[in-house]
Amino acid sequence: MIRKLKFPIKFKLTVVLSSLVALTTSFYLYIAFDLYKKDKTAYIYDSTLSSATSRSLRILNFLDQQYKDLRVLKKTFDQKHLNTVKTFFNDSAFLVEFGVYQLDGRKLFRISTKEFAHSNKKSVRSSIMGIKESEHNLQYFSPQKGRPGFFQIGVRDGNKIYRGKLSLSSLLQSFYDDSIYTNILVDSDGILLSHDDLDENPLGQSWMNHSYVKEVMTSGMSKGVIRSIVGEQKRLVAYNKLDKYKLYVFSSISEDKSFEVIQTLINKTVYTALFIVSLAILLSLFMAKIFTSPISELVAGTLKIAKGEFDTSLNISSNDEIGILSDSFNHMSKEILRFTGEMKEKIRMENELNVAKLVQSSFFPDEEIILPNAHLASFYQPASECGGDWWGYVCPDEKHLILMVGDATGHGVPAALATATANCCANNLKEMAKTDPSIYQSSAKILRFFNRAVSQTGGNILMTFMAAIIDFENRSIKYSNAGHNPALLCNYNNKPRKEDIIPLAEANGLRLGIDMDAQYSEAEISYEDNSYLVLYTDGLIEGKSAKNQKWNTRMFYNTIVERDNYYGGELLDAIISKALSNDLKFYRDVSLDDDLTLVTLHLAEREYSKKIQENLVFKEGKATISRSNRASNIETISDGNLSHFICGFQPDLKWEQNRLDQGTLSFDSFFTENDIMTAEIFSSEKIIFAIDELLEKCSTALQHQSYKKMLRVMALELTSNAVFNAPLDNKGHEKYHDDDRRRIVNLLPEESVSLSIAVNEHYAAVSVMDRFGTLSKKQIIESILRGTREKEHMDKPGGAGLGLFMIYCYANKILVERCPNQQLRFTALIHNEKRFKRYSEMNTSFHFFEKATV
Amino acid sequence: MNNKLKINISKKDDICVVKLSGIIDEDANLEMISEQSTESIHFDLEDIEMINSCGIREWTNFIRAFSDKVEVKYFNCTPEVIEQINMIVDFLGEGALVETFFAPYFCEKCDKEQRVLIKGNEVKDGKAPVKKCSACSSELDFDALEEQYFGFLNK
Repeated sequence: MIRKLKFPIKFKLTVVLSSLVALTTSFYLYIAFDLYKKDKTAYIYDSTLSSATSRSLRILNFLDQQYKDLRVLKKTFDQKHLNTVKTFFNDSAFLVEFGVYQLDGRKLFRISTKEFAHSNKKSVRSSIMGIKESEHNLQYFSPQKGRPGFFQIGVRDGNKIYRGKLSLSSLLQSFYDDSIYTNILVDSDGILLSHDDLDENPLGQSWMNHSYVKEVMTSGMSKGVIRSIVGEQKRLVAYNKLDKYKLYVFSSISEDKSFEVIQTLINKTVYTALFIVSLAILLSLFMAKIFTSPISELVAGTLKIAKGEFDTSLNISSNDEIGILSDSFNHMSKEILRFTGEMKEKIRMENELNVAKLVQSSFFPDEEIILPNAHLASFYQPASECGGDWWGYVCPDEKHLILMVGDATGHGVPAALATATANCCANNLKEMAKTDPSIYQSSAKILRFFNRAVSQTGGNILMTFMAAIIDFENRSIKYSNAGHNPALLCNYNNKPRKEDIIPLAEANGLRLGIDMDAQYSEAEISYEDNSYLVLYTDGLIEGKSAKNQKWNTRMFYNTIVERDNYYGGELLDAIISKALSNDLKFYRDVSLDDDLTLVTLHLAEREYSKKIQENLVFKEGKATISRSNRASNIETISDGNLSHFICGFQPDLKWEQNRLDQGTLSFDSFFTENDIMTAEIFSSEKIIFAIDELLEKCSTALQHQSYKKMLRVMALELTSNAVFNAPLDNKGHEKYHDDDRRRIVNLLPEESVSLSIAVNEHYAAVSVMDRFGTLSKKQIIESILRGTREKEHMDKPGGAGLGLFMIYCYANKILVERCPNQQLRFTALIHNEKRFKRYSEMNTSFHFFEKATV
Repeated sequence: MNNKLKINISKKDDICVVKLSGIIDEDANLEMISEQSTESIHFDLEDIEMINSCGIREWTNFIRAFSDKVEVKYFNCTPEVIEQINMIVDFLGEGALVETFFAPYFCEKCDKEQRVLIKGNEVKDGKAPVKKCSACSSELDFDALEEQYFGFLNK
């Protein structure tokens, strides 16, 4: 059986290639993204820090410049060049006031812009107190009472303090040139000195509690980048501390915004990768199709071959392994085609030979024949399909038997043609004997008749031949021999010795076919009742074993006298089993060099005259087998006191024999559990209902409408018999046997009868089991026998005495399994044949099993 | 009371036609047929389902006492009845005739069994008459052993 295609190679290849591309791309992207992200992060951090640093430098430069200007003003003032001071002040871009004060705050000099013209003595004193002698510092003063806010720088020299005021815009301008970063400036106390957005963040407020300001100031670090959360926003914050002025510059940027470019780039890269992977899948599909289409073609080709289309050829042009494979395939299919042709021819010849063999087999009589005064047994085995041995017999009347055996030179078809001639002669002899009794009175005349026929066949075929005419009345044998192995005669009234074996060696003449006009003589010998005449061909005594050992005449003779007596075919069985025995292995497992024929004739009038029946009856294994009709068979069963009798027409004859010999023949051996329907019967009134109910369930499997009616009758008969005849009372007497069958009998629970009906595709059966086991084999056979002989009912109380006879007529097999005083199962079985004729031909087998316990 | 066997009696031109349906067994009451006053009786057995051994006894006892008084003919005997007729020596009764009966045939073409009604005189030399399939008109194969099935015609 060819499996169903579930995962085509095309699919697998596509998956593998696509997965490879997808995995490689993913891995590359993962590595690249990681490196890129790290690099860009470092860049962003660095940029942010640069922003803070550059602003710091600007602030530092600016403040240094302001201090430088302040010192120039100081020096100019100290040199009393007040006009120069005024000029310098006016040229200054950022100074809005320059003043010189004593330590107690008294003003020595002051020049300012109009905006800062008004001055308050107290506020001056407090503001200049922050100016230390050796420190640079920057202080912020918020606007008050109409006076704008300012930054203060100052220098202290001895008792004088030189103070400069810087406008707010001066410092802030250095911050207002960047739209990306948010920049702030705080002093060491956390006071905000500058911010991009002054509307929201007024100067002068303390930013000490602001998240990143506090973190940076407490860290003690002078420069760096930190991540901080401002509000709900993650920000990168770079800071730089101006130690000289104790100021901190912070530049911050939204993390999302800073990484926005990276994310955009990553997204674009991912989209590109997805596009590449999709392209790869399409390419994989395309490539897979290219790679697998030749394989698909190969598969289709092999399937065609599997279906028997051997003329299939492939047209694959690729120059790879698949191409080579397709060439091999085409070569193979051609070879198969050639072999098939040869095989057909061989089969035709074999069929012809088989037909010839079949035809030739019709030349031979049955292997076992019972005659009124004798028993014929034969064994024939050709060396090839057709052999050159032949034997036959003619019974012209009850008193005579003509027995013939011949061996044509060689074997095979030419020799077989000679046997056909011999057989034809025998048939003619049979016809001639009806009108010319003299023909069977002379064996020499018979040989001359055969010789003429064989001589005229042409082809230079010769044949050794022997004819023996047995006269049962006078107990004599007339014989003539044409170069054949002499037949052997042996008397078994006393244990024979080898010397008692008489070869019929006289009256020897030319082989048949040498001379058409050859003359033959005849000899005569008398025999005693219970003698054996043994005819054979040289194949029996000249055959060699695998060890090149000959089954010679000595061994042959020894086997003949091995036992005190033989019966029927026993002598033949003994010889053949010796010759083919496993120990000696003469002919077993070796091909025969020559055809082998053995015929034994048991001349025992007293034995066979009694045994002869209308048809063949013989024993095989435990069973006696017959091909006679039912009436003869039941006579044989009753006469022979047989327990197992198989009708030879049964299609399962061998199976039945084997089962019987193995001890496994029973009702259950024909059916599985599912085939069987069973009902328990407690009342005669319910029988027919139970039967119909069971039949309703299983009759659909019956192949002929008559079988249902037969099963119904048989079930009714068997169940009624079991209900009325089986139960015994305490004294062992039949309780209901003689009761009118119209009476309703209710059984006790322990008396119940089990009814089974079983059907499968081969068989249908009724099986009834009682719990008493009273019915004996003798009663059964006598009942059937009476019905067969009288063919009418009995006028007696109870049943009509026809039930078992009817069952015997309907059934193909009867099985009775009895345990005396315990139970009895009676099974009537028919072959579930579609053709009623086939069923009718089979007659009835009978089996009776008896055992002590269930 | 037996309701397993139904007996339908009708008369036509001095002929008593008895149609039996169901089971002939130990309960079969055939008295009402015996009571008929006629010189010729025709039994139609097409609807007989089964005759068991006790039924055979009832029937043969009935027909034995009956057939010597009147002319008995059987019509539409099913194969099951024919089996009984062949099996039991006195089933038909003295001098009785089977006019028509069903015979088992088989159509090889349709692969189907058929029961064909044939007349007793159609059987010549023990050979089944040639019949055609009602479905495909091909020739039917007689599906029983002729010697066995037509054995009753020689009685």
